[in-house]
Amino acid sequence: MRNIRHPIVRGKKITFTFNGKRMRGFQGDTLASALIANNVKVVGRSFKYHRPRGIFSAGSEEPNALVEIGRGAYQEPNTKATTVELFDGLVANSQNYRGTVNFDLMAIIGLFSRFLGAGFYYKTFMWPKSFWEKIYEPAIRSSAGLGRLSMKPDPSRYDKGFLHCDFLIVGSGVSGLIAAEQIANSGARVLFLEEDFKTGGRLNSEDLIINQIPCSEWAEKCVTRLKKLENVRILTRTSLYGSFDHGIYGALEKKTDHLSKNQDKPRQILWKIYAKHCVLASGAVERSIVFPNNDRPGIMLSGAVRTYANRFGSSFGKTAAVFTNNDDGWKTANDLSNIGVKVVGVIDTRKNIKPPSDKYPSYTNNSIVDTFGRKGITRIKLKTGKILKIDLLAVSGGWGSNVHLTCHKGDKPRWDENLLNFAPSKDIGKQNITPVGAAKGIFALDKLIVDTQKTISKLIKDLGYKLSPTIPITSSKEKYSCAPDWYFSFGKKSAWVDLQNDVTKKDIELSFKEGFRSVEHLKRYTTLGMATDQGKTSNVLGLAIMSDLEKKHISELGTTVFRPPYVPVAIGALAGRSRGKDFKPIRLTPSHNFAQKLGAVFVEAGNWLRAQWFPKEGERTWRESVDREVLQTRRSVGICDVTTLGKIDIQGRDAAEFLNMVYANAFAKLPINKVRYGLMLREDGISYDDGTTARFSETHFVMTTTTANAVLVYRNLEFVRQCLMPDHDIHLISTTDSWAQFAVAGPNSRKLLQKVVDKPKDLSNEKFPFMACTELTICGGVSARLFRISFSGELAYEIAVPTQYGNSLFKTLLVAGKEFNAIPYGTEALGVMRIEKGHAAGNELNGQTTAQNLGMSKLISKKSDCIGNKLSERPEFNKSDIKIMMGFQPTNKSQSIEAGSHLIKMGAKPVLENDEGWLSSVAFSPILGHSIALGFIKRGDLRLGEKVLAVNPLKNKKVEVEIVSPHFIDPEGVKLRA
Amino acid sequence: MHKLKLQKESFLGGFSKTINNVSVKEIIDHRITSLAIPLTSEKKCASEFKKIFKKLMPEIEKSLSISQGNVIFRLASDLLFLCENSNKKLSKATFDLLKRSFYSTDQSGGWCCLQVSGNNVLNMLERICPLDLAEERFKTLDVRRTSMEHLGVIIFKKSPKEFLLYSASSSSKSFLHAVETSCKNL
Repeated sequence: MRNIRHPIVRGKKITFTFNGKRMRGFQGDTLASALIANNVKVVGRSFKYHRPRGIFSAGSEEPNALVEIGRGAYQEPNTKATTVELFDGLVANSQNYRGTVNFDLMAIIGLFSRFLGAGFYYKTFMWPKSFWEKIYEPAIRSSAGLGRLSMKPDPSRYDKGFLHCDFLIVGSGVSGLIAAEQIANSGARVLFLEEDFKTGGRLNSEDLIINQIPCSEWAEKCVTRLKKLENVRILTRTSLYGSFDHGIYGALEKKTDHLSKNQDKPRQILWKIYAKHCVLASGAVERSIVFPNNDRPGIMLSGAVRTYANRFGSSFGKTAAVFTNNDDGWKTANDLSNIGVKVVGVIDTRKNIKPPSDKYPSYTNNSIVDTFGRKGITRIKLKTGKILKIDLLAVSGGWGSNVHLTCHKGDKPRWDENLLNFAPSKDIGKQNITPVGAAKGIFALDKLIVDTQKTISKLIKDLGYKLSPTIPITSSKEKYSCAPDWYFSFGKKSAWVDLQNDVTKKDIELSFKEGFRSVEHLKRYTTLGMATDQGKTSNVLGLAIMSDLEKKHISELGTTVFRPPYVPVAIGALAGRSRGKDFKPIRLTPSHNFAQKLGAVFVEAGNWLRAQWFPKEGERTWRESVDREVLQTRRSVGICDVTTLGKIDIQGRDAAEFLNMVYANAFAKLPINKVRYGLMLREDGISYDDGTTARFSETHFVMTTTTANAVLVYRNLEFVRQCLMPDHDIHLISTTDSWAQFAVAGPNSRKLLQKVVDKPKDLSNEKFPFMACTELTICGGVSARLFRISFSGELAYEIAVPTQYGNSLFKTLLVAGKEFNAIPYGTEALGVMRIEKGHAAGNELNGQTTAQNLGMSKLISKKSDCIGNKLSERPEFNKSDIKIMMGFQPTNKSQSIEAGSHLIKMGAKPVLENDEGWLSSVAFSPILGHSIALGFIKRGDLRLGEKVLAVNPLKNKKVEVEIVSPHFIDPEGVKLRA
Repeated sequence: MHKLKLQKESFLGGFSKTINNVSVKEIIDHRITSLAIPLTSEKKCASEFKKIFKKLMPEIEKSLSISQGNVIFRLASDLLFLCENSNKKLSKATFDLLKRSFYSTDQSGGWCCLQVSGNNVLNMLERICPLDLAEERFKTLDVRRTSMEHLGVIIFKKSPKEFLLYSASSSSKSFLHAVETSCKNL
């Protein structure tokens, strides 16, 4: 029913669909207010018993009116109709029913409700054990629950952002507005959040006067003034869902949820807010009262009834009653009466009160013992036996401060015995949060205004901001007192405590009988206070029942711990834009563009995309391409982009000493223009990383690391520099991205490079021998670095140019190398060649192996100290039977072997006790024509020629392999020194 | 003359676009040099700096404009970045003078520079930049190292509505995508 005199009806008309039926509403409506105006009473079905349920509240505390919004992949379940802003074309559907929402086949469960108390499922469906996961749980889940997901990927876009302010003000009700204006006038930066699409909070719901004008009008004027201030930012449709450490808050802004067409903009934005101080003006939530059959459609919170009447001009019925334990219920009777609803009675539980109005019948010291009307309330029966015919019952169990956000910070709410309310403790100020107004536990408008002004003035002064004179505000006088009458039950009739989870008073009694005393246990056993509403309207009711059962004061019981989020946050919003290709950044090598043109197949190596191989026409498998690349490189020349190796510029007077410390082998005497292989150990003596380091001057070195460990090594070097050697002159800077680096390998590599370098640079073996390095120019003046190092075992170089020239150099090398049939090769061929040569890489430096395992124990310098030196001397690392890195090849050369296979002595059982080692890297060697492997085996260096079994239990494969030298090709190093 | 010539390529092909009142433009052909102050040589470096540029070395997280388009960032107590964004680069002689006092490393290939500007630039940046960019917290000509979308970024405020964002060249396409997405999402 809509009040045709309400201003909302002069606004834009909106068409929406509910359960397939087209309906009309107005701009400014919520889905709930529009449904009420369209006289829709049954909005959904209850969680467990499938009882018909209607709209209960007018905000994010709603336990009943959960609906599915949207169609297809856009469908979002469990959305509170009370928080959905109405827009043209909105599609909403009820959830949790079979058949129709008005005729739900699952409602039959309600007939057995007396047998379905708390913990019923867990106690009953115990045997046979195997049935639980396959039969019982799926059956229970399909019959009890909330909404359904579309099971399709969410096509909506989400974003996130960062906001900063001096003061974060949460809530734009009267105390929030007063705080915002006062603080804004001090010059501080204010971020003002309101979860509703309209600012004003409860001022939009009340028929009160502030400064001689209606309170909603006063709120609008305040907001207009605030909008003009540069230091104030107002975000509506934004819920603060969590308060975290260090002044960080999480907020969810519904950016385009309320638009028919979002123009491809994000629907929601997750804000991370950094605030110096938070003013919590989050208001209060009204509690219900527990009485028999108190869950029928048409039974609503009293404050919500006023909201629908005053803000939206909509009401459920023409004849109403109010059931209250406090003064606030009388306001509802008054407001309903003012808009023409016949109030047939106010039932007040309190004994000694004087009814504030005689416009309608009052029943003090009374209560409701039953209600009637399955799909909409029709009658109520009072304790005195009186029957009242109604179509709307407004219930008020008093107000409770919204303390969730203070609790997120670990605050324990204190019980206010006068107002019967859990309010934030006085210690909350230490967390830089100042509650004001109803959130602080002040519920009368006039008192709340005075206290907020005083509190904020003190806060501004205490924090050192400029304090402006306080402007007095006059308002309607309000009275608020409440009685602790929260539950009434008669006979076996069910009385609901938590509407969302179908928790009844009987469930709480059962929980007590079964020995659960803590409120946390009560919550887990009964599900009281769980799910999307987090028990905002029911927690205190449950506590009241529990406290009476335990014969303890409610303050002794305390509350459960409220944790974020305060309101549900979609997983999509938490993920934000970090989906698909936006999940992580990608690093491209300098030659990526040209490699792409050549048809390279790429592989992810950490964040890098690297060319894995370059298929040629007619090649049907990757092996064909890789074999060709290996053979052609070994026969002539191949080029590979190795930019991804970490490159660190090390400069300083103490750079050489620093390298001696971080590498296991000595570097101090490395001559200028020379490169040396280096092995790094961890503090515990385990191998960490390896690479080469070149020296360009007395004080200048360039280190390379493995691709995988580039960042870790840099971080470790910084640790050594800053923490272990702070009084040494050492400077580090990453140059990984600064230089494009290419391996040029193969017998013709020198000839090819000689064509590229500027004269008179002589690359002959005499002038530029193995492990030499130099800075030079190439291609007519481009500065470059050349290193004579080899990972492939061939005569090879690595050439580096500033990254901007990288793509061009790659092309140029291929063009210049045409006469040698130069080819590009990828990481697969690179891997095959290093295994053929017996070079350790990531698979061998896996965090479990030592220098001794790698056959490099002699490398550890004993002349000077280095990281890991002492612990590398541990007896366990130096036993005679340690595992040594060796080469392996199948006895039957036609057989392939598997990386990860365990090595077992011939004739021994393939069990853990007989495990002698493992194969770490495996490849097919096109040069040798069979599989080869590197691996670790006990006393490997003394077992050359011995046969062992390579066992792969995952593939149930056993292959006989021979232990050989890890250097399958050119063990003497003749080629690379050529 | 060498027969073979290398072409210098920009990381983002000279990207330039205006999206939702935010202009996003790649600064091409820049030269970046890191200058490290040797331990115990702070005074000597400060004095050399003053001799070369006739100005005091900037404080940490501040910058100094040395000529039109060329600027020096003080990123840490012992680290400066010389960013030459204009065609008019420092002479070799000046560079040699700098190298006498500072340890220098060419960083030109390491960083891609995006200039973002316009009325909506702050709204765009608040989607990816965790820093407080309000003028009272991050003044014009201030510089900071931070991370945006998991990428290390140096942010420099050229004017209240104009910023330079330096990110690693290898991931510059991902970073540009993040900036473009932020613009589109406004």
